[in-house]
Amino acid sequence: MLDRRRTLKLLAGGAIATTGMMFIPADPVIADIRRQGKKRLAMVIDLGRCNGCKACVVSCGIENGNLPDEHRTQVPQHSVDLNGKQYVFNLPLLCNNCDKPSCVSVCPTGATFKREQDGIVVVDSQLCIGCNYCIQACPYDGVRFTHSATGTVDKCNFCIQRTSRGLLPACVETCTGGARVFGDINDPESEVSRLIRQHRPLVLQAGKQTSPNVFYIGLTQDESNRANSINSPQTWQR
Amino acid sequence: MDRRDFLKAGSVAAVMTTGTLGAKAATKASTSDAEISRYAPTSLTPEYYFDQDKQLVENPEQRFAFSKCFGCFNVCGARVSIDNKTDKVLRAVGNPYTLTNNAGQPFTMETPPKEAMLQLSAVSGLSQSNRATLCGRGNAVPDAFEDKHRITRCLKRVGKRGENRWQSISYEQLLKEVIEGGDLFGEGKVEGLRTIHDNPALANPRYPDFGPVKNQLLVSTSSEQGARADFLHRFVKESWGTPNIGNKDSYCGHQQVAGCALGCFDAVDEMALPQVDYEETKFAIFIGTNPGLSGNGLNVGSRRLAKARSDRPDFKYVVIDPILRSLTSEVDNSQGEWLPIVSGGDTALMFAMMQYIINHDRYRRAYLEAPSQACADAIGEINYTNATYLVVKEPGHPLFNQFLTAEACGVGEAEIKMVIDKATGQLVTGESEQPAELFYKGKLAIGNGVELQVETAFSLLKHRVNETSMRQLSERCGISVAKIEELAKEFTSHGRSVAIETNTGCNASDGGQFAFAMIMLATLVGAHNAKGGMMHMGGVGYAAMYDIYDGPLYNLMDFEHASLTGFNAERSGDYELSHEYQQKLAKGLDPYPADQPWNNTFVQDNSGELLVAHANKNPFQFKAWITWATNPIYGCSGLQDQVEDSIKDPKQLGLIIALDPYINETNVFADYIVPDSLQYEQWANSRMWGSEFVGDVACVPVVTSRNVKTAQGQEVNMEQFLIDISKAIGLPGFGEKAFKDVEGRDLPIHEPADFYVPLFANIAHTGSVLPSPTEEDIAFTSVDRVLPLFKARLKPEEVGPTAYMLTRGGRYERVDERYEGEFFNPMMRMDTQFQVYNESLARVKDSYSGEFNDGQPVYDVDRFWDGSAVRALWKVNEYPFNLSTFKLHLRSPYSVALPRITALGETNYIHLHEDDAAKFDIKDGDRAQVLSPKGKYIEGIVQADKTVARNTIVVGMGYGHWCFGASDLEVDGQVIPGIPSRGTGVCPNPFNIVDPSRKGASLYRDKTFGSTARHGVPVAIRKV
Repeated sequence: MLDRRRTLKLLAGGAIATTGMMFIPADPVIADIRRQGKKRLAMVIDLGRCNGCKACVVSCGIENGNLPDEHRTQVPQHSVDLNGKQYVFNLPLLCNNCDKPSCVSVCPTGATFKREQDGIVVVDSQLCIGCNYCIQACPYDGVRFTHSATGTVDKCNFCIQRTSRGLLPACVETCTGGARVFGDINDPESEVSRLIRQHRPLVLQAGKQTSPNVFYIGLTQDESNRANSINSPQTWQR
Repeated sequence: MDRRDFLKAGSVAAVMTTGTLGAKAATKASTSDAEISRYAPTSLTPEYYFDQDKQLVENPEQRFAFSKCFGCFNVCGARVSIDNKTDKVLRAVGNPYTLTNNAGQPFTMETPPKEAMLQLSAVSGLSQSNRATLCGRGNAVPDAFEDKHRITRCLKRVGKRGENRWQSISYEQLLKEVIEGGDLFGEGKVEGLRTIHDNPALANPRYPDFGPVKNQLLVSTSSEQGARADFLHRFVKESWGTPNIGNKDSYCGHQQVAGCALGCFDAVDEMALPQVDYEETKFAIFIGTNPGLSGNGLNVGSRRLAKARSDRPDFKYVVIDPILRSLTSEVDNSQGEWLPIVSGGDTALMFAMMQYIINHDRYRRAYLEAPSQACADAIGEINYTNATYLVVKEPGHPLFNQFLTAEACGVGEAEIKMVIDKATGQLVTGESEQPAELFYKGKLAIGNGVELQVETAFSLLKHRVNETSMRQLSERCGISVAKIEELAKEFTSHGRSVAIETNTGCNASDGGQFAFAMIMLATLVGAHNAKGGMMHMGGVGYAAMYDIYDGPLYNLMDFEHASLTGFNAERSGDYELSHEYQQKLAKGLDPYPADQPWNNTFVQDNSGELLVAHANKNPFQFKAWITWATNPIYGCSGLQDQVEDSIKDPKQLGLIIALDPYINETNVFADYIVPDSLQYEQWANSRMWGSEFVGDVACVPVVTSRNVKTAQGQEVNMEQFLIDISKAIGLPGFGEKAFKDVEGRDLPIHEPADFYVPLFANIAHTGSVLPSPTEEDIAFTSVDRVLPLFKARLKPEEVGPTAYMLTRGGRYERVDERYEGEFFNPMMRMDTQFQVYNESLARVKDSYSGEFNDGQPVYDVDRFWDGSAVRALWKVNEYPFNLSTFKLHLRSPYSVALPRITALGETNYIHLHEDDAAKFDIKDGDRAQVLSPKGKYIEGIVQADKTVARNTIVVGMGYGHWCFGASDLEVDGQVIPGIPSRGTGVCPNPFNIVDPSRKGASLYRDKTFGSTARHGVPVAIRKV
């Protein structure tokens, strides 16, 4: 049977040019972040540990006061045919808290900005006028949305109310498979740094050049290039 | 750092101060509260935070507590934060001490709670693999308290039963009316509980063996409610004294638990449900279950599977199920695989694998050759089997189909069985320390000149698994011969480090036989109790390991028990002891078939069958029904149309009392509703399903119940109601002198705490006595709020250890060394003689044919009770599909009340393979009807792709409610509108088949155990 990880490594080792496929490993992104030397919070999601249980989706909603059908994170699921066999693909999605966020520059009020001290991209609800420019500018469909109760733009901010207080994001705390890991990418001893060293994860849609801070272990290059939406129809009822 | 190494490294404090790996402690200074309120205006405020010195700083507006999770019946532990002002639970996550939330290395009881929270935090710098989780249901339950359809007042029906119209009445009025009866609804006189209880006459003189009138109280409950269920059972059995208590187990998957036990014990009424040893297994088969998705804890199952996949390249697993679920990820395609199987084909696959393994001599010969523990010890095995025991095959002999005994051979007791010594060929006793012959068949001189035809159990098995050809077995399960052989080879390529696990999904009429065969497969390779093999001691609690109701401090069952006589109305017991059987014999009639099926093997306590008995007025109709936290009309396959009319009619069933916070499809027919406490408002103590070792979750109410109070100021709930009716009627075990302490002093039960406080004290003092907690532990975990309840009831020295348990949310025994050599350590082993031939089963007769069961697994087509083939009646050309159902990852019949769960999917689907769908001009997204031979159908949206087994239609559970908040509820003239998201999709239970070979109302039965079966049954599909 095809070992996808080995294939990935082969690809990364030089087979890319011959395939003509755009291959952008996360390494330059990480190097970029590291050069700044500042605390940069990031999430690593090991898809090999994700069982598609959606505990993250529910805990995020409870923690962040979102309406039940408005999601900062979601796990779209679908089946995949590999060599005639059927598998599931579980892909947790959330705001990538990018290093070069496309949402910030379009914000007319400065409501959305990237924090110096930890790299979290926040939305200041007092400054947000709900113009939705950031939603349109973001290449990751659905990760930014208008919170129905506040009328302002909402998104994952790595549970800033918890992570700035020494705690872990709600989704990480309750990830049943242990797939989501959170920490400072610039702390070489952190668990996220160790995972990045060991697994050379990919980011979603690297070609959009936003340098995401959410890294995926186990994603194929092809999958990483695909556009996904948090608002995909929830037809995987299993 | 691995926590195990971390703990070995020395004291927690030492490591905390020196080895935090450069993690930067967060400070409030870096981000002010004001900033947070702008960036996260709708988010919660954390229950505590850590300051620069990593000291936990509590949030004065909230409190922290441990509780039990009530999201489903897997029984996990929760840590919750509660808003002090509103008394609302704000969020819930897993309890890191429990054995079901923190896989592998739960925190030790010695770890102080604040220290535990530090270790779970970001500032600890410790590996996040130690997290303690709750699944989506557990995270979603805080919303349940605000549910508009929650019942908090005592209700009395207005209008006819089932109209869902109610008036609120006082608790005292409710008590009076249900106890004393009268013309309560203007429909005529209703017998109250007192009259029913006190009437010594036979319920039905035609069936004197079904006991007195008080047996006409039916009580129905759910499962996995731990001490609360024990409380109810104590009322039903020991205080009132009726055998008619029904549960949901036997329409859920009980036959598989009982079937597994057939391979583990020389008995027919035992239970076993082994788990895969994820940590060391080289090849695991999940059949009729997905890891962690049915019973064996989602949290612990998800983590252990994920860890095995990620950390162990030598771990492989296959999930065999009619439908692809979320547990075999594309990312791990070299390790995990989904294998589609036709619904109802499970036993065929087991037989096919056994056939290959035995015919190719790939079984663990030395293990199977050991006739005794002594021989097993000598060859390095931990257990032995009865594979070499000689079965008497001489027709007419008293031991026919039983083992040849030492007594029959004149060399010892009847308990000692005979084998043939492998080396000498001599007949010796099964106590022999030498290997015995696996294959023997023939006439044997047993002494005194007597010759008998005998055959070893293993020889019989070889013959049995070869009765059907590999090709036929392959066709039945829809798995190719090549694939079967691949599975069989893989299963026999890793020594004992292979495992096979099931749970409720193998639910055709041969579910019991499937499970027997499944255990046999593991027996063939000696995987039981082996490192990497079958773990048999999971999910064990204190109640199972110790008698926690009988000391060491309080004897909660020490009172004069009510008399309990008669068979239960679903006919569990030995038919040949019944009045009916004796009468038929006396009249010279053939006693077989029995009038209605009997459960000769196992007391099922099936709520569904008890209601069927009621509908059939056989042996009698119930006069009163107390239903608590259960919903058989929605959940029991086939039941609804069989019994609903007999429930609706007050002339047939005088009084229905529901104890529940919700109105569901069953208790909507109630006359009265007593609001039960909800979730975190409850006292709870329970084993943990899916735990690897002994442990209990235990908790006190951590928020105040929203329910109304009694005139005395007590919260109304299930326990209070049972206490008060018992006191009013004068039942033993409640009121003054309800039980005794070990010194023989009488103690009362007037409210729930009177029962749970001494119970908790017993658990805390069982085995080694727990230490006392610090003031800080008590305050931090909010145990101080309930301490007065304990101080008022316990001796001063008993309070500390009991409170200690609550400050950890339960009591958990520690596993220091998981394995001993190639096996589990003795505490984690279920040491028994594994059964290649189950003699006890061979002594039990079928209540239709009067014939004895077989002592070995039987492969057969699906059959009704009368032995006729299901497919002979409902032919393939008319009903080309077999039906299967499954429990969704998060959605369940109960989690429908949680808006964050219903938001995860509007509807379920009718799943079938795209090629099968095409034959009926159906494609993905079409609407279709699934037709049952019962003449009913369900209609929904089709998902047609390659992720379903051929010839199978699959429908998920948990959708299609018509009550439970899905429809309007009227209380005191006010209408609370139904919530549409609760009613979407389809529920496959009501439309499913019953057994036309039974008289009157019926359910489709497991052939061996009588549990309600629901899979492998014929259905058709029609495009709409």
